[in-house]
Amino acid sequence: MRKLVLLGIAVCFVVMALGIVAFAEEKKEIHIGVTVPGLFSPAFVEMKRQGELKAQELGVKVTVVSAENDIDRQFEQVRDFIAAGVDGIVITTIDSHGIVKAVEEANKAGIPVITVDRKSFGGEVFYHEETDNFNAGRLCAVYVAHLFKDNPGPIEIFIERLDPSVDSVEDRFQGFMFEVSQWPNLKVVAAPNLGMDVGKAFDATINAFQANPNIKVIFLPGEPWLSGTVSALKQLGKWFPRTDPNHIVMVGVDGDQFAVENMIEGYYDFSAVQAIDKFVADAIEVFVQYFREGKKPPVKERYVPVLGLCPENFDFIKDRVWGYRVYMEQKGKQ
Amino acid sequence: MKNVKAIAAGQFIFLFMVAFFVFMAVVSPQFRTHYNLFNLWLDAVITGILGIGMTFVIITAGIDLSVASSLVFSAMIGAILMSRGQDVLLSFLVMLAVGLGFGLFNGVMVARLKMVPFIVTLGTLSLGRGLAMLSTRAKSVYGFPEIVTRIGSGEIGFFPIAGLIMAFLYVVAWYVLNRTVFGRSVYLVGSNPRAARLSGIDVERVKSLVYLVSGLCAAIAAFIQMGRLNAAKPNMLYGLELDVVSAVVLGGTSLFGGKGNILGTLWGTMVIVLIRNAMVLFGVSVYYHQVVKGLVILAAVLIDILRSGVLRKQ
Repeated sequence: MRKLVLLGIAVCFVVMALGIVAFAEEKKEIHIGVTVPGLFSPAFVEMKRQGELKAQELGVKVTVVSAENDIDRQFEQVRDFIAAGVDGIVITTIDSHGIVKAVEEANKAGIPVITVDRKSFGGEVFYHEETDNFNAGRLCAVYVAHLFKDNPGPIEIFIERLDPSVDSVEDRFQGFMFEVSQWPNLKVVAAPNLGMDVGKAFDATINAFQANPNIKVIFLPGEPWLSGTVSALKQLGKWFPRTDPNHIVMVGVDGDQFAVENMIEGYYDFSAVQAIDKFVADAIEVFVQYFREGKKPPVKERYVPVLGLCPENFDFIKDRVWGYRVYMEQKGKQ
Repeated sequence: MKNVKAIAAGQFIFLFMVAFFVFMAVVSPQFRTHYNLFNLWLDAVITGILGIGMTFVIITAGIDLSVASSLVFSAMIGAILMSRGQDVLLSFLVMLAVGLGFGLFNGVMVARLKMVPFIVTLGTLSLGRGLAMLSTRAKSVYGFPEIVTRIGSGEIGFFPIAGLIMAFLYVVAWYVLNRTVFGRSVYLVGSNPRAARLSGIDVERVKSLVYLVSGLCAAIAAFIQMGRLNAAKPNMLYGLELDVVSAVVLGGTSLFGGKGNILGTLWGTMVIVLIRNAMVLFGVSVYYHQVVKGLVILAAVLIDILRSGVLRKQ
């Protein structure tokens, strides 16, 4: 009897696995492979979703894989795409140096590569599109500097530094630090490495405030971990709206639904909004124009400026913010 | 006929891998290309080499969760040395020393201080990652001498050089486990440490040595990994230790110790690589990747449990 049950379970597993495989789409005219760093960030989830919608609209097949923030896995995924005979590859890389060999392999196989969000520092790239990350971080610091321009300081700042080995978030950190260095009243008191973990955002915030109770500003180079920070501030009894004199100023980069939600509720101050949601969709469009009409993009590289979102301009630009769209969709489902 | 059945049952994972391979070759024309077959072999190398050390450790009823971390730390040290113009051989020797250092530390903690392997290696897992991050302040190091990239991703005829190194290491490991006194001691220590001690085996020494083997494998894999990407990054290969444990268990090595098969680890590794490759070739949605991988591994292990009943009856 025990064996029969075990056999039944095993057969179920195999049937489920094969069933899932059978649901894979059939090959269409153009096949594009997309590898994203991971689906831990709403920005990448939205980027993937918009890319799939664009592929559907243009009638092409797209296969999206997630590298789980591991450059070696991403390298393998590009090789798998080459083996699968895709027509084009879109890469949002984890490491601009580590991806070079993969790009070169695709070049050797004659498959064009588009990089989005993060560059490849080698190989032949057909087209590149990314956020101006350095200036995104800088813009956040400019907002803080102007907010406290009449305060001699020191204004203590806590930075939730994400994984410093990820180039894009590190560029935002560097941009923020560059601008802060121009303002003598601003002082960064803590910038721990959180990795890509919301739990660490909570712990780091608690620890930072215990060590530096006068922190006045928090900078988030990426906003997906905002919920951990908010929980920590609530636990510390420092969660006050913007109208309260004890309010902790919060600025960050992304423009995701968490930032939008907290801004609507009156707690979040500034977000440098990326147009990251459109990157994969744009890449697919570029490929389709090239494959169907032979048209090459007019420029090889495009740096998309960020949009500064704050409560003062919220109503005017909210429709251009991807996080607002996701927020409204989620609200609609509730 | 009965013998055939028993052999088939004992090598279930091998048959499973062959069946999977044939299935893929039939249904996917892209699968049977030279590029893809080369790619599969190359993709199996890092997990496969780490699997050798892990098999030794698990047979003694231990576990080494620090394999990927010690690999990454070794790679970062080697990368720093080479980027500063140090000799490749010298850098490799330092990498071996780092790997062996991790193994020695784990071995001493587990064998001499009687600490739980899971906890000790969980600690060294974190330590290795932290040291790797610290070594370059989380930055990548890239651009190594040609010999390194050639070993990591070059080929000799049809065969990837790294794949041949892995095959050679499996031959050596098979020989050590099956044809030497040390190999038999490893099994005995895992199945019955008391009996092993009464037979005159230095149980602590054997336990220490298996962690050294694991550290050595991590250092060799680190060298190949550097050549594969021509870059080293402190956060690469996150979670790989779990794939390695899966490959070893899938290959028939018991987590309770005393039972294990080095070739099974190789087949287990290939199954994991095949699953991942199949996902991309079939264009399966990214949300199902982990689910399918988990289901196939669970199915293989369950079927293996059922089949192993045939062996026991024999």
